[in-house]
Amino acid sequence: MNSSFLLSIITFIYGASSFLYITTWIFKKPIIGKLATIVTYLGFLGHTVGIILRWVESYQMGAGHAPLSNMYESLVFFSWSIILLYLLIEYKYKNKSIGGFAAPLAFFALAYASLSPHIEDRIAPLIPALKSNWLIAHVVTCFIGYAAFAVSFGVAIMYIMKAGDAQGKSRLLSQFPSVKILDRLIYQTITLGFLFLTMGIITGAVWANSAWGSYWSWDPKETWSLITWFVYAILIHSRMVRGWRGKRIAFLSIIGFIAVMFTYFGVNYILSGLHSYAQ
Amino acid sequence: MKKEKEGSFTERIWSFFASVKLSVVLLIVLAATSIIGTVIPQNADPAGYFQSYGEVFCKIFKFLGLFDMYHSWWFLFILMMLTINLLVCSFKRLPTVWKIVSVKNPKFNKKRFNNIKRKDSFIIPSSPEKLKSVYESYIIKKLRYCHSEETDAGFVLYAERGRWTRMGVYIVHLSIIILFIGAIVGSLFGYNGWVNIPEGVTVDHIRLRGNSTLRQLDFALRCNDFQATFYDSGMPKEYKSSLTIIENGQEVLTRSVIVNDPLRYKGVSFYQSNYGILPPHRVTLKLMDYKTGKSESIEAPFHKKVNLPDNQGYFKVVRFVSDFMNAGPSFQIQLLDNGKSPVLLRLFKNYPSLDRMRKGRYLFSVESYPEVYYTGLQVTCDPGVWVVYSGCILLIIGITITFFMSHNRLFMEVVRDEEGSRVTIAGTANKNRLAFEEKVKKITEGLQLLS
Ligand code: HEM
Repeated sequence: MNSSFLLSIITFIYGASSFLYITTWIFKKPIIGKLATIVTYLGFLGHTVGIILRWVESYQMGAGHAPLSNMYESLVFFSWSIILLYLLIEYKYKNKSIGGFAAPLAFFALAYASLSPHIEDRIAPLIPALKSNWLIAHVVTCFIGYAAFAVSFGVAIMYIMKAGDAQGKSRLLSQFPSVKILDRLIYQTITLGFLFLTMGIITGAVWANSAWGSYWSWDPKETWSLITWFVYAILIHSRMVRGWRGKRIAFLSIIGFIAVMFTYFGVNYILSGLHSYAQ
Repeated sequence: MKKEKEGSFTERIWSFFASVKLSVVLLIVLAATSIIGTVIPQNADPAGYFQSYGEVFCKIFKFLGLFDMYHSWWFLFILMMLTINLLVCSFKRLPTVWKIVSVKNPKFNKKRFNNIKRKDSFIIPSSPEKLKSVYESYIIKKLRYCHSEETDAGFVLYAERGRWTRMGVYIVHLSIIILFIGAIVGSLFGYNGWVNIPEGVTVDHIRLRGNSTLRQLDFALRCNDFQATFYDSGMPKEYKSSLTIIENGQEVLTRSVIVNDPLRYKGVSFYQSNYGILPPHRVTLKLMDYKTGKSESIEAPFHKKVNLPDNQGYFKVVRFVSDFMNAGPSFQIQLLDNGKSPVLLRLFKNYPSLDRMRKGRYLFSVESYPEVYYTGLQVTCDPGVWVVYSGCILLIIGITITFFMSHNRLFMEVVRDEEGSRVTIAGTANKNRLAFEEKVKKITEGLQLLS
């Protein structure tokens, strides 16, 4: 079994855990919730094996490098980070309804990586510019950051749904954590994401400086990551200094995640950049 | 209140620049305008702009500096406003925060203690005198700072940890200013250029990017060797130059440079950026005599008459094309056989028998020619880069402190009771309150087990 095949199986497992999390939320069946968690843990385990296997395969091919060098591999890692972060949150907050909003994001990322004809899943040897430990640090930090923003986005949607039902009439929404906890969770994941995005931008700059002698050249990918950073900096100031809470923060979190998605896909597919991921 | 509103002009400017409203507005403007430069290609060919946008828009865009917008006056103006904003805000807030942070030996504050809503309390069969030292040594392990005082009814205790983390935000803001300073130093005192060095050649100047003027280096640089290696698929694997630094006629350093691993010397960095092959100055040709069937190798420098073996005429190599019509490297040769009109031959390295079609006395083919590689190096000098990197490290440290560390305080009051002592505990934190409340709960449980 090769890693691409294993990872496409994991896609279906995450599809199943998304389905189970949504089912346990809608039908309030705790047993399904238990099953959802078990399936997700198994998927995560297989996912981890898949990433390691891909690493080993690249060495067997004589093109050995960490599996973090192209669009496919970055999506696989992005999806892995979302599940990791979600499982930590589930463990800490003991609430499975969040899974209905986080697991699908990991599922979509992996499904896009595995199934889209635009994405090359073969292992390729590295061109000279990509041979750098800074590149590995760059991809790892960026995508952990993006994953935190993705989870924050999922929770922001939950917040907006829950806040729309102030009387607490809805049977479905009563399963969500309280608005207070959701609000805190949005902010906590954003602070985590902001730290990692900052490290991601910095390691990217160091990499650019070691490869081309310029740590910042305003290429579209760099600029968009900075725009994303600005959006979250605005959110942080609105909250810390102006005391914004709740819906406003949830909307800003959604705008921030749109900026993340544009940095990730829009720059490659809509704007043509110099960045190595651009096809 | 009235006084503040009517404040003098400078005061109003001061508070304008200290406000976080201004920073949010500036950040929004920066985020929004930055998009323009990702949609309009920057510093591209003027003819391309003309074609894409037409004359009128071209003029408008040029006037607004949109073709190099990140260096336009208005963009730099926004960045400058942001810097002033940060500086003024820090100047305004720092003294207050410093006063809080630099307190020596803080003590139990009754008013603060009373203000905390959530308190835990328990009764323990032991006298306050006995408890004092036991509790002190327990708590100092958990919070690093601890101060206790005896009271009429027993004792009070104040403990805290991470007072200095209140400075986190200022570290963040300061690091951003350091980043800007580094960038300014780099653009004022640095330069950026390139140089192509053939193997075996020494250079002591480079060409600057932008205006292509020459710039003298303080030392000389020799390229000893260049190698390009490829994967089986034809994709490049590695570009490697061996470089030697020569100063005052002395070789001081020899090193290999590959992509992602530049050579740095005296503040100047050399990056492997491209390569090429120099056109040859001579070529070795093989001439096969149809009459005798013998072959002979002749070395021919460019643009010089070379006699044919039978002294019946001469030829001259006039041109080299590295890839003629996709058929690979080719040489052009003028042939002047005695008594015949001159002919122009085109010899291909990869097709040695092509000259047969001419049906001349000799069959010309290319035997070999020297291939001299040159290495293309990007050259930069950026004295600000270490300032920028320090700012980056400080930024990461500052954000970690700001978001993930907090100032935790614990208040304890121990009062004599008929059964022993009544202990009341309360904790506050400036951030992440719930996590600290958990910790206070654990500490409370721990204290109950001591006696
Ligand atoms: C990008 C440029 C930035 C500007 C122009 C800026 C500006 C400001 C200003 C004017 C204030 C209000 C003054 C004060 O309360 O001390 C402030 C507060 C604050 N800033 Fe920034 N800031 C920037 C970046 C950041 C970043 C990257 C962070 C991330 C950690 C951050 C975190 C904060 C926090 C937490 C506060 C609240 C301070 C408090 O509660 O006292 N700032 N900022």
